[in-house]
Amino acid sequence: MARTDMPGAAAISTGRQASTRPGNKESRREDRRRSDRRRKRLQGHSALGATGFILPGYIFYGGFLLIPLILTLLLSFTSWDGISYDNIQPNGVENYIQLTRDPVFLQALAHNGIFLVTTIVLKVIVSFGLALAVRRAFLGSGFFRAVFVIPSILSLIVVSLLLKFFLDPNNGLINPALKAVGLGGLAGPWLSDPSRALPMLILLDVWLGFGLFLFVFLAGMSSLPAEVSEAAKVDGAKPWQETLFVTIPLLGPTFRLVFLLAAIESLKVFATVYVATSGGPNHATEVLATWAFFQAFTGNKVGYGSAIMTVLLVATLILAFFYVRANQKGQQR
Amino acid sequence: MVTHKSRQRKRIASLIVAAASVLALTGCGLSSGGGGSLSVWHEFSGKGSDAMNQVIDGFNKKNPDEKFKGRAIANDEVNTVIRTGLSSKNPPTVLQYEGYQQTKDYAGAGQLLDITKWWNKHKADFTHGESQAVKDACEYKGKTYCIPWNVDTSEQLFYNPDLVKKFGITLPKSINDLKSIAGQLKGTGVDTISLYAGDGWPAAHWWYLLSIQRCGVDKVLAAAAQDGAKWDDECFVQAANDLYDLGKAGVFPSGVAGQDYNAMLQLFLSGKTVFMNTGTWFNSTLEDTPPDFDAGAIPFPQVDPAKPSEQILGGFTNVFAITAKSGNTEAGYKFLDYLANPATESGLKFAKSGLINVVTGADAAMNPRVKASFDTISKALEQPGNNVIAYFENLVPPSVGEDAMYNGSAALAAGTVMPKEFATNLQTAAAAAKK
Repeated sequence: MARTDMPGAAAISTGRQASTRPGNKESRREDRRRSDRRRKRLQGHSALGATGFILPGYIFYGGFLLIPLILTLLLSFTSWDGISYDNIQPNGVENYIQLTRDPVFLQALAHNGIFLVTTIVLKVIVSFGLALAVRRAFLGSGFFRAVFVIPSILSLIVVSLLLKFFLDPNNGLINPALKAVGLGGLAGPWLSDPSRALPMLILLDVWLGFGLFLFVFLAGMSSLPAEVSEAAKVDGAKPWQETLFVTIPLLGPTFRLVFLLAAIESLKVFATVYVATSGGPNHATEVLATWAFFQAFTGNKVGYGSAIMTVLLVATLILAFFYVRANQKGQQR
Repeated sequence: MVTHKSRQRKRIASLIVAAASVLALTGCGLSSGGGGSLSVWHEFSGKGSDAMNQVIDGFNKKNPDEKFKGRAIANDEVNTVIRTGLSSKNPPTVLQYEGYQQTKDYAGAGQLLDITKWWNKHKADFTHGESQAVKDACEYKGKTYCIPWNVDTSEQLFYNPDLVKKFGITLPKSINDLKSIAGQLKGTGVDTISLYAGDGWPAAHWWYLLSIQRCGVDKVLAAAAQDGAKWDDECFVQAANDLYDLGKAGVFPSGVAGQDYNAMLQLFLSGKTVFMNTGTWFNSTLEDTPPDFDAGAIPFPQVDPAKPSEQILGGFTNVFAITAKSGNTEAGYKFLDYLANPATESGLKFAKSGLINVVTGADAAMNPRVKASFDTISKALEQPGNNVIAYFENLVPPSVGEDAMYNGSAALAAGTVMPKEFATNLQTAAAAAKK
């Protein structure tokens, strides 16, 4: 495209011509000012256009994330029953001191920790393993890819209700199915049994989340340089050696991303636990989010519930900090 | 050329625009206000909700310039919806809720209108309007904030007469009879009692019923107030032991602590258990979705049939109030006038739906099973002294009721906590809440 076809080309070319024209300094200054104004107008239009596109995101981010976050933090330093705004009373760090004396909070924190470690390990292993299996095209690979992502798009509420129904020891489907295949010894009270309830919820969380991470790994694998793998093959590397010494190191940033996202998901787990067990039996599956919800909406302690959520926020920020640092180190290498 | 100053100005301008948009979005609405549309929020479902809709339609026909909209709230959303609604800019005009502790919470927060004068003029329109139970449900610091609407009791065992006949079961009069029946049913694939306590309260109600028999209403009230009794006193431990023993005897189905009330109803209605203990609101469910057997009801078994307790667990668990900040007080009073007036047949509509309505004359529309429960409650209310006690979680803070009592009772029924430990935990929670 010729320069003269571009918008503002006339102004730019006039400016250039003016700057090379000998003689009148005043007229050259005037021309420069004119071209600057035209350029600013053009930039102003683009800036206005950009602001117009960004603004809805700003509004959403501010209104539904930033402001509730700040209010939660502020409320964590108050005592409030949640029934009338007139009853908000500042109480310093009393809520945080109470956290240290609350056995259910400590139990919930431990459960979140168990969720964190087990779901990260299981999700990474399952999604990476399946990504390795389906990354190359074979008959049915497309079908499997689609099937694996389906759990990620299902409603958490619906899935949790179905799990509860399937695991009903008297009216459900799992116990009769186990008995029918000769595994009646494994049948049991499931969500009523403190030793089984949390593992079942962890498995549910892994099932719901692995599909998305599968695609994150597939995307990462597709961006790896093919020459490196070929060079490894030429050097005689077996498939498992290629995976261990070539693929996994090159996928370092992807692994870090999956770790972070899986960790954040496990910390903010709420819907599945709330619907399936409400944190029971007797707090055996209580997590920070469900305990905070109980305190705020049943216990008339919105301030205390906010303090619990602030602890969750801090834990998430710490994870994010380590992720960013690990990423920076990775990039420097 | 874009200078640093102009870039700064643009950043500040976009931040101001963004902040203004955000504030506009959140409405700057931290203060509750009124003057909004007329509405009545309620928890009724099924036939009860139909009755409520009929009442609202009747009121709107009579008052075309002040039409109410009804909003049904699901039971498990009640806590969140009512709290956020009351402090919003458009609270309901009239609110139906569960009285007792909720009256204290909402009135204490200034969200309910003092209707003492109105109540004093109209209490004669309600059966048992003068009773202590109504005062417990609706009074706060000497003022009345709600009107009683339906009363419930859990003093019955519903049963499946087809299974009773099939297995040759003698209807139980004592707790020990239930253990015998459990032995009789072993290996048949049918359990004695339908109890799923994932929600906590179904098991808690068992402990409440046993505690009333073991300790008496006065002692329960004293423990609730932490004044003159404690939850780890001997009689409460005995009641916990009764519940624990029933679980160990196989009276309850497997997985008692894991499923919810709906699954519990399913077990009973599908013929997998012979008996079920729940409140008289179940009559409304039977009207709504009748099973293929004609459910009967017997009094809840006694710990000692030779010395039966006449005191009952129950109370005015459906009450109506006018909210203080809706700005539609006059319309709210008109709605209460309509409810209380026997000529509008509001009470009759609820009675026909299977609920025990207390507007004068509503008992004429109750079916025999519901009328029997109404008579039981009436008898207890008419006796001198305190003979009717509300569900215990309504007498104590949520950390004691909805946490320690609910979770502890479910664990007792499941056999995962010992009776003494349950009572100690409960007392610890009560003592902490009192501080």
